[in-house]
Amino acid sequence: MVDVTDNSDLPELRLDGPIAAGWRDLTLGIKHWRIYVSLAWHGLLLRYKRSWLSMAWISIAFGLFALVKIAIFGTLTDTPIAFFAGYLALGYLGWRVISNFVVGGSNVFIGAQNWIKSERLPISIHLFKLVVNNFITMGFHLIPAVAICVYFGMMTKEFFYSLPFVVVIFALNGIWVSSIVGIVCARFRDVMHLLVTIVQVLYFATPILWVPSGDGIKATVAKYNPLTYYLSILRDPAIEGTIPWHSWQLVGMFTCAGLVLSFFVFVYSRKNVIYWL
Amino acid sequence: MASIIAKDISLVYPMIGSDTRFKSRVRKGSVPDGKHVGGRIITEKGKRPGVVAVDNLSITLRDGDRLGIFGHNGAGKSTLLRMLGGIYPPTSGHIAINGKVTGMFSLGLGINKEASGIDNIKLKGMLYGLRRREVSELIPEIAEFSELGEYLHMPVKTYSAGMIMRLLFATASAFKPDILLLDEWISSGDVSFKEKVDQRLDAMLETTPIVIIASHNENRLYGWANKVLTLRGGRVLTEEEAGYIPPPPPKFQPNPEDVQALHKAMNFERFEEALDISGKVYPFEENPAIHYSRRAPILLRMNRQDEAIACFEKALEADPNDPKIYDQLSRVYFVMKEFEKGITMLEKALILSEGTQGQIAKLAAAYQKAGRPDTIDEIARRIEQETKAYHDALKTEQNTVDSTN
Repeated sequence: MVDVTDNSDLPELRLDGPIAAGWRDLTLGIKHWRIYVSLAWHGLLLRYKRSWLSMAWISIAFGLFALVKIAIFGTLTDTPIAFFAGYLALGYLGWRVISNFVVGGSNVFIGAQNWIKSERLPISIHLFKLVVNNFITMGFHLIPAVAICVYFGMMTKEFFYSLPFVVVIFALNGIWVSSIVGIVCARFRDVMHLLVTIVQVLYFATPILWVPSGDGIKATVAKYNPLTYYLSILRDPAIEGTIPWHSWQLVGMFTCAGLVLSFFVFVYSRKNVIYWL
Repeated sequence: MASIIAKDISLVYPMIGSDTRFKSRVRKGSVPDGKHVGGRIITEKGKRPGVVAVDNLSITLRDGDRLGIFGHNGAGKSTLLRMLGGIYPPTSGHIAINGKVTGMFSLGLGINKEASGIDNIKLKGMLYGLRRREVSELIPEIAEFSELGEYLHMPVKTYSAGMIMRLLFATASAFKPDILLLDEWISSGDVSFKEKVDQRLDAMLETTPIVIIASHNENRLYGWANKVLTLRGGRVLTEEEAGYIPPPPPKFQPNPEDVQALHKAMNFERFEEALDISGKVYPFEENPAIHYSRRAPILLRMNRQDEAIACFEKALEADPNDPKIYDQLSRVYFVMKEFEKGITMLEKALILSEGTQGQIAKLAAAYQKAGRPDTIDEIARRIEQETKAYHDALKTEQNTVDSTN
């Protein structure tokens, strides 16, 4: 009785290749902005449930952390305290976005398996959810970071002019990083645990707590660490008052390369992700 | 027009990461082979380990189709359901789904337990592709159907499993999808909600182009579906036209308000009133057996034993095959210490229905009080024999009817 020979009355069985199907997943996903914005917002509320200050904790924790670090590491450095305060506050701001993408990315599909296994939705939604989640967080971080900079007189209008572009670049990088990391971690669970260690090491290998100068080992580490340039496009306009074009070029290249790479990783493993959860 | 076309679809759940170590354990054959639940486990050397949940299946569904998927635990019902709903892509083969899908799979999935019922409805609506306003318009209907009341404003983690099911069913069915997928847990609600669910499902059958239900209740499926797939180990064992046999005409349904009034009268010991209401709620014309069997317990409460017994006897005259009435009557006799009569009635009840251990024990106790020497094992064996004889007689009777036809 189950007759598959005569389907003339039905639309043809559409056989999309992985690239077309993957592309459709992405475009459909981005259109469902209501879903991922709402999921991101609920996710954040969930983290701060039952606390009275709720999401204000994101700002408070960041501010306290940055101030303590300025107090401790400011005494260990030769740079003027005002410069160091702005340097650290904005560096840490950028770092938190980066680490949230890497650490959040490792869990982006694993943590969403509840939804992936029960709703017929493009899986790219969870990437976009992470992006929204991280920029809401960044918004809360921005308040204490800017406050510290203003207090120490390290704020310029160039910072605010370039901020929207920086946010877009960070978002694009967030998407490619979290899609690769998310897929690899779903398949190879050991990577997830390895990543936590890598992120911790990177924190010290990135010029956040220290200022590279001269030809020392610090300068070499900073030079070959791509994250230096990501922080520089965010930080330099405020503390130097200039737009770091060289960093922008490098970041632009990294972004393009990452997006292309991640697109192929995404389209060729998208269908399997659900079986790895 | 909604449709689902699946061609040669298979699904193998891969075992990856450290899970692969299970492969070698399975291969060692430390567990005796025998009848199995679940799909085939791939253990061959050189092949990737995995579990074959659905094995090379083709099906086409179009508007008006109601597919029932039947099978034992691990037969692949739920997996197939999710594949047909577009959630699991097939690991080989192709599937095309045209139409909007909603489904209810398992209670834990697709719900935010920290958020309130209302928030979850909104979220579900959004996931389904509705706008905020469209969802808000549906909320009163969902609230009314689910009967969750003020709990809709409480976080879902405060709900019981049955309440979550109410919320999910009320929500999914309010969206008017093209394709509705139901996993069998839907039948786990309490009786009153189950009836509502059945009613709404019937209504939805009329309006939802494609409905797919996975269940291990065969009778229900055959009454429900026009196609039934029986799966075993992910393979199609049989494909049958079920012909959507309409459900049997509903039994006489008393008005719930009257029933409540009856309970109230009983609780407040207004027995005369209860008798009146009972006569109205269970009219003689509808079903004389029920009429009398409901009336008798009230008479008992009024200490009018003789009338009650007469009432039970009239009920048995109307329906001599209802074990419940025999059971009730036996209890009356036991209370009146008329053990012989009670024993006769209880034995009748046990022969007509599969008696419980408790009933057998009660019977043995009655034998003892009546001064008869039979042991409980003897009694149980005799009841068993008589039950068998009764059923055999019933069968031959049926066969003669069949052959004369």
